[in-house]
Amino acid sequence: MSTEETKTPESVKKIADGAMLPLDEKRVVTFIDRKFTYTFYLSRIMADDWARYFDGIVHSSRNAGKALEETLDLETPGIALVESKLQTTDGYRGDFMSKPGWQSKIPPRHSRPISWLLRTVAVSACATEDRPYDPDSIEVLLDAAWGMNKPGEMTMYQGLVHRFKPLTAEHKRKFYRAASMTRVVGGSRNGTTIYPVRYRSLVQIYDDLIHVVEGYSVNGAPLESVEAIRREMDVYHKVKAAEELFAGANEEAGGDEQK
Amino acid sequence: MSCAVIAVSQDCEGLQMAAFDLFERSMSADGLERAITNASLLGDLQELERIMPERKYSPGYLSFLCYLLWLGKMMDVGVQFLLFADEAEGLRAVNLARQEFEHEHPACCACGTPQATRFAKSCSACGQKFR
Repeated sequence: MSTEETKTPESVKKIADGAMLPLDEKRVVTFIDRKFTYTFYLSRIMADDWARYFDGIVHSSRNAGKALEETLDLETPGIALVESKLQTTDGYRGDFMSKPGWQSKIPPRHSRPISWLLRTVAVSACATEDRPYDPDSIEVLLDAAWGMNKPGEMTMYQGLVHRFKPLTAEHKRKFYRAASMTRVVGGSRNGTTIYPVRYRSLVQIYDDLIHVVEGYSVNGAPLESVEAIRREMDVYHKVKAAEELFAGANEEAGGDEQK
Repeated sequence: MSCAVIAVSQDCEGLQMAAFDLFERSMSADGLERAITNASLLGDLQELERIMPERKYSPGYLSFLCYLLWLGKMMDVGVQFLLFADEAEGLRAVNLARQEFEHEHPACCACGTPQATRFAKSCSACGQKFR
C-alpha cells in the first residue's frame, strides 16, 4: 500500500499548551485509503496485551558468508494485537461484523497500518531549550499518535513529558544484561542468534525511576502520584521513554573492544 | 547440523574462543577501516567484499561479550555488583582469552603495540628491535 494511497493527516496537540492525552479512553485509529475513510475502535490496550505483543516479536540474525542476515518481525504480533482489541469499525461495506471472528477479515493492507499507528510513539521533535536544565532529573519528551481529530485525521500529541530520577549502575547493568542474553540455534559458528525481548527490563526501570509525567490524564485528571503513573501509563510509552534513557550511551555495552 | 539451543551466557568455551577472535580482529581494526574507506571511495565493491573479514562466531556471542567487557570495566573502576554465576564464569573466560592473546601477540616494550606474532624481531609500529 503506497503512502499516497493511505493518507494519515494529523492534528497536533501540544502538551506545552495544556493538552492532555486520555490514557483511559478507547483507542481510535483512522486513515484514508483510496478516497475512502476507515475508522477503527479498539478497547484500551492493557499491560497484558502489550506483553503478548512484545513476547511475539521475533528478532534473529545469522552469518551468511561475509554478510549478516537479520530478521525482525513486528508485523505478526502487531496484527495479532489489533485483532484481539478491535471492537468495531466504520467505513467498510457489508455486514461482515455480524459474524464471529470478523476481526481476522480486516485485510493486512489495513491491519498493518492500524498496528503501526497504535505504536506511533517517538522522541519528541519539541525543543527543550526553553526549559532550564535540572541536574537531578532526566527528562524525556515523546510525541505520540493517539485518537481521532476527525474521520481520516489522527491526533498527534507533542511534547509528552516523562521525568526520571538518575540511572544507577545497577539499572544500566539490568538493561545491558537483558539485551545480551542471546541464544544460538544450530551451532556456535553458523547458527542463528535469537535476541531476547528486553521490554520487561525497560518497564521495570521505568517504574523504578519515574518521578513526574506531564500531558497524560485518566478520568480527565492529570496523573500526579508515582503509583498512578506506574498503574495507568501505557506500557508502550513506558518502553519508549525508558529506551531513551540509554540513547547516546554505549548501546553495544563494552563497545570499546580494543584491548 | 546440531539444532541444540545454546544459551550463550553459559557457553564459556565458546565465549573464550569468541573473545580471542574479537581481540585478534580489533588488532587489525585500524588498518581494516582504512582499507574499507579507500575501497568505498573508489566504489570497488569486489575489493570491499574481499577485505571484509568473515565472522567466525554467531552474532549472539558478540552481544554477550560486549556486556562482559562493559561489566569488567565498571568493576575495574570500583563499581560493585553481585555477580551471577554466568557473569563470573564469562569474565574468567574473557581473562583467559586475553592471556592467550597476550601470549600470541606480545606488546612492544617501547610503544605497547601488540605484535602480529610472538616471533617478531622488531615492532611493526615503532621499529623497536626485540632481543
